[in-house]
Amino acid sequence: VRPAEKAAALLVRGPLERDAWPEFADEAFVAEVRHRLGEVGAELASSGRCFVARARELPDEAGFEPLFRLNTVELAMVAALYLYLRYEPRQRATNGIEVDDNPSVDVEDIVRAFPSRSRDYLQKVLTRLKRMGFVRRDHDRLFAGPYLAALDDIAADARADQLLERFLRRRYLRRLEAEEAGNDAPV
Amino acid sequence: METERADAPAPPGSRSTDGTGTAPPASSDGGQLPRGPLPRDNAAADDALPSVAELLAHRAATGDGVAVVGGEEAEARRVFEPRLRSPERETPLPEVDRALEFLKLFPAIVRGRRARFKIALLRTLQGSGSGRWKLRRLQQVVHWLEPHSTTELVGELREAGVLEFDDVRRFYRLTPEARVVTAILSALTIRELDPRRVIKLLNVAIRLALESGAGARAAFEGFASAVAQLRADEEELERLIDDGAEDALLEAAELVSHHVEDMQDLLDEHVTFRAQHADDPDFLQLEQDALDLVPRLGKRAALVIRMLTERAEQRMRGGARVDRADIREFLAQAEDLGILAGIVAGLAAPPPFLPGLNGALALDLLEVESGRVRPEPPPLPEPEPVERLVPPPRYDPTRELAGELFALAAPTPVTDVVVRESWTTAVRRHNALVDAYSRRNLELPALEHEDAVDEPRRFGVWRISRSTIRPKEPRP
Repeated sequence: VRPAEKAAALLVRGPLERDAWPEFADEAFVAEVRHRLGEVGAELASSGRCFVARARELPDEAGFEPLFRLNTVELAMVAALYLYLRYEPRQRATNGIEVDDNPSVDVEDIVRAFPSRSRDYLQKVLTRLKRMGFVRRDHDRLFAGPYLAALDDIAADARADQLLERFLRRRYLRRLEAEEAGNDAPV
Repeated sequence: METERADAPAPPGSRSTDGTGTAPPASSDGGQLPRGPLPRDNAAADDALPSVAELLAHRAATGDGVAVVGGEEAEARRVFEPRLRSPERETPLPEVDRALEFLKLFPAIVRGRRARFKIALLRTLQGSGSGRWKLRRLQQVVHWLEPHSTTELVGELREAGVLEFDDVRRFYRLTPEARVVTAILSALTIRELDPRRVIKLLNVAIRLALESGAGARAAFEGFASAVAQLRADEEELERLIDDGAEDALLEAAELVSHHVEDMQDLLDEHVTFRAQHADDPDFLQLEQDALDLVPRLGKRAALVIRMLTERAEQRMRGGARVDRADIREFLAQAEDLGILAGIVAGLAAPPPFLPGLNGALALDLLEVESGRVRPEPPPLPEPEPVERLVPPPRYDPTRELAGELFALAAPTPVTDVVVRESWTTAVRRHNALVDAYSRRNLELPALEHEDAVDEPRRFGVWRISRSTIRPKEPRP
């Protein structure tokens, strides 16, 4: 049995594959790993196939400038990836529709979602997200990386539900208005 | 605190039938009230509603309430007198002053601990059918109250001018003002206001203002309040469309529908009033707002109800869900990346690690890298003089055929020029002929076309358009 200390030390350097680490079945082991990660401001998360350590949100501190901080465009792109690769498949599953085990999205779908930004810049953002483990790329298809899969889906889904519900309502109302305007129009 | 009831002159609102302006006391035996101060337990709390300053001072002392106010501040508020920024004649105050004697009937009835008894007593009298009562009869009518208590309450109401006493015939009756006040209080004896009835009630208030002669301003204010309610409805509806639960949104839409209907009734009912004030720009603007809001808001509420109904039906059929096309459209219209980023803000934490570096290995690799020589391309060969070669003659069937054409001495059918040796040769010569005339039409002998067709029937050629090549005449 490998020590929890080693697992924690590895986790702050990269994901651990679940199959290769049966020790995580032991609650005491997991608690110890959590404790060790917590000591350095990180937390343990599971992404299905592997375990990852992610930086915990910390308040700003004078004289401290984090090396890694996602900017707005990066966060927005993570959100777009989340909607395609996590949220929408879960919606399908909830409705009893068959879901691809490893959902993917075309790079073009992501790039076109940000028309105000240049393609070069968006490709760089994608590369950065890939390096950070949020996304995997296979030619023109993007797949969820371990850090996207480890995202707190309950909280994220609630926010996505709210935004999409607003969007769907507004769109529905616009369609009804257009429909009624069409009906009211003189023949 | 002593009550001044026994010796003080009757309040301005009270009436006497002898014209003296003072109301005689009543008692249970002959309509006369007992003289002297009322029992201490009732009088102390019933003289006045506690003022705001008193309440604040009490809160300051007890720590109760939101604002804690010191004693000096409470005292300052006690003597506080509101100051105007505009001339008084430009404020509603003169109208209020004129109505103050009437309006004072409300606090005379509703203030104090015994307010509930006084209101209930007046309601009972209002509904008793008789317009006047001897005290004994009055005590019988208010059968639910102990007679002595009835006598005390009647005395207070008489002093407040709510009840009138005829000291000749020894009976009490409700003053006309008291009847109106009692009717209004009865109408408002409700547990809580149903929000759906707000505009309906405002309409009633407008009607009351117009009927009572309170003036156009009072009606105008009621109208403005109704329009303000519709505006608030619209804001609330839009807010709930964005962020509200479906049941809350449906409830709001239904409420709006009620309000719109009531507002339409209000507009229809007061059409004369509206016409009379059409030259008032403020009222005109208000009316325009109402006329704009009613159809717009009514339509909006109806659409929201329809949307919620249809979407609920879709869900019942299992058809309502978010698909990729929805997400694509949602992302395309999301102009504010901050809102989109908000979905994962605080959740999408980056990994905590940096690549670990081995210093010794790094230096070794540096040495390896710095020792590498950039590869160079092989040297170029020395230059050599180049021998110029005459290009071999190129077979040009077009030029060759053109030479044949120039050599013709007499008019010759194209068939004779083209059809030679084999089908392949004939096709090549025909192509060369066409090419030659395409390029050098002016130099070559004239080519005359005819409608007829030649049929050489040799070398695989069956038919060919009849054309004749006519050599040019030699120039003199």
